[in-house]
Amino acid sequence: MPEEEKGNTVCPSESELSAYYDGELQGRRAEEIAEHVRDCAACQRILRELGEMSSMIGAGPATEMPADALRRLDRRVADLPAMRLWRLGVALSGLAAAVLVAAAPRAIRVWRESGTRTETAATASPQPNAGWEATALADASGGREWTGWVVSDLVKGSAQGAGGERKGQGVR
Amino acid sequence: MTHGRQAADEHRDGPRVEPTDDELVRRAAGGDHASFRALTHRHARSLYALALSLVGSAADAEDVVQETFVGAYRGLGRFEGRSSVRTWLMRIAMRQAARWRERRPPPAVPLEALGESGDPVAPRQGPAALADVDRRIDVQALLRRIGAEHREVLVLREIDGRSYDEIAGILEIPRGTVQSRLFRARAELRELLKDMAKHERP
Repeated sequence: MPEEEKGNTVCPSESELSAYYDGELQGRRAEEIAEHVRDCAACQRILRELGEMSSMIGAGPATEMPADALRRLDRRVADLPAMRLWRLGVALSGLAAAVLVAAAPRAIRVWRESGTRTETAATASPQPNAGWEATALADASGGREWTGWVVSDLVKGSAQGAGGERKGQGVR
Repeated sequence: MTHGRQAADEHRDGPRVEPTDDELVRRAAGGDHASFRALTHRHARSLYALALSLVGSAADAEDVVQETFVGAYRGLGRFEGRSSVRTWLMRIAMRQAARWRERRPPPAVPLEALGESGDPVAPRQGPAALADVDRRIDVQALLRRIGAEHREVLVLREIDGRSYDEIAGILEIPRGTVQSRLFRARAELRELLKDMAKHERP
């Protein structure tokens, strides 16, 4: 990095020199650097390296898009559904997602009730209250707690054999 | 638009003026599929060159370009014209290329192998610190060795010739970040070339 002082000017940082090389500095600062570079071998060397790297990258392989690739792209674009159908599809997907979200609390409640019936007094864990689903869905920590309940019940269900199957039916 | 209608338009309005990108997007968003195809034809080649520099293989670059236009089609209704259509398309292409790289990270190319490709290359020029890299270099393989963020700015600047403001718009980062990232990218490239020079020395 050129840090030496030449005459009255200090070498610009390499970041600034890089921007100067790109012609991205304007006004007085660009003039100052131009003046400095005229007498500074270190900065001249850096600018020369930047030029070499540009030539190197710019001389990369030809990047013409092959004709068959263009044809395949054109076919793909031509096959895209018409905008009206596309929007209809997006709208229907959104509607389906909304229905699922709306139905989820009830489905979970049914499933939970079904699972609760299989538990014995000896193995029963503390049960969430009637409003737990809404709370669990509403905040992240509740969500994690809810996940814990589900895992706990699944473990119990698999240990209880028939009970686990009935929970599975409850999900459906 | 049919040839007959084109001819009629030219007769009535003088020589036909090509619609602007914004016009094509507006028409495509309104359901004119032909306008979207015209937009595709107009920008496919330059986006392909960009994608090829970012992902490194012709097949992957083709996929990136296809996904870019599919993504653009999906987003037609959301295009607000705050940037140019070209910048918007390049932004989508950069995102698609980044996703592609995540899914299929390019194989690491050993330094010694960078000069052994049969691809067109850059000969050494000028007596500077990079002078020891005195052979033909596979530029694409070289770029693949550079970190993704650095490669993006290098490609946009050195291959696509974008200004800092344009790069800032495409990558959605501040202009100052473009400058510092480009400086670090060049430093990384320089170190890589010096390492290559060391490997070459007997």
